[in-house]
Amino acid sequence: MSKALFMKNKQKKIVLFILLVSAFGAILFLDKSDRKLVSPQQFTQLVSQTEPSPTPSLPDVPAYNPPPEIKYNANTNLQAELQAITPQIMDNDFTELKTLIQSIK
Amino acid sequence: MKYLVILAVIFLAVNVSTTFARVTPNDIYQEKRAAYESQLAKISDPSKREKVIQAEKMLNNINMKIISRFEEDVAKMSAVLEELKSRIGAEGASTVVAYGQGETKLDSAAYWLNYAAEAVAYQKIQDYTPSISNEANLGGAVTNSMNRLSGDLGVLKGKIIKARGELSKIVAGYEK
Repeated sequence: MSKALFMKNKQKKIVLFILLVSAFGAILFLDKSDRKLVSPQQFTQLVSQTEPSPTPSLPDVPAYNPPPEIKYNANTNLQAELQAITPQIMDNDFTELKTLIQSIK
Repeated sequence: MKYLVILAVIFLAVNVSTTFARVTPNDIYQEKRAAYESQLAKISDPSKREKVIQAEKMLNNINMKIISRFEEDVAKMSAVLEELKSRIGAEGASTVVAYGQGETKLDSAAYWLNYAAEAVAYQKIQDYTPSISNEANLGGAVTNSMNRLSGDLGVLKGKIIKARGELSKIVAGYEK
C-alpha cells in the first residue's frame, strides 16, 4: 500500500515536472509577439518586406586633422629628436574650465 | 521543490542573458546623453544650465587640444622609426606585431609606437559627459568629469613617455 502510494506520488511529481517545463517553454517560445511559427515561404516573404534596421550611429568624432608630416634625413640626430619629444599637459589647459566650475558652484 | 529550483534557475538564466545581449557602446553613450539632457532640462536656473553646457563642450575641446599635441609627438616617433629603418637598410620591410615584442629590435620599436598610437586613438573617442544627479551638485559633477579627463590624459602621457623610452633604447642600440 505504501509502495503504491509512493509510486503514485512519484508519478504525480513527474507529471507536474513535465507540465512546468511545458509551461515555461510556452512562456519563453510561444508568447512572443515578434516570434511566430511561419512556413519557409512566409519567412522569405516577411524578410523581403522588412526594412533593414538603421545602422546605429557612433558618438560624434570631429573630422580628423592629421599632424603635419615629418621627415628626417641622414644627418638628423635621432636620439636628440626623441629626447625633444615631451608630451605636455599644461596647467592653463584647465584654467578656464576651473573658473567656469567655480561660477557654477 | 528541487525541480522547481532548477527550472527557476534555467528560466532566470535565459531571461537575464537575453536582457543583456546586444548592448553596444553606442547604446551606453546614448543612454548617458539622454540622462544628461533630461537632467539639464530640470535645472531651474537658465544661466547655470548654459554654464554646464559650456563646461561639457570645454571638456571635449580640452581633450581634443591635448590629443592633437600628443599626435604630433607620436608622428615624430614614427618619423624617427622610419628614418632608422632607412639607415639600417630595412626600409619598406613590413613588420606585423600583434602580441608583445617582435623578434627584431625594429619589430619591438614598431610595437611600442603602435602602443602609443592606439592609446591616443582610444583617448580621442572617450566621453566626458557629466553625470548630473541633482541641481545642487552641478559643480561637483563637472569637477568629477574634469578630474577623470585629467587622470586619463595623465595615463596617456605616461604611455607616450614609455614608448619614447623604449624607442630611445632601440635607437641607441643601432647608433653605437
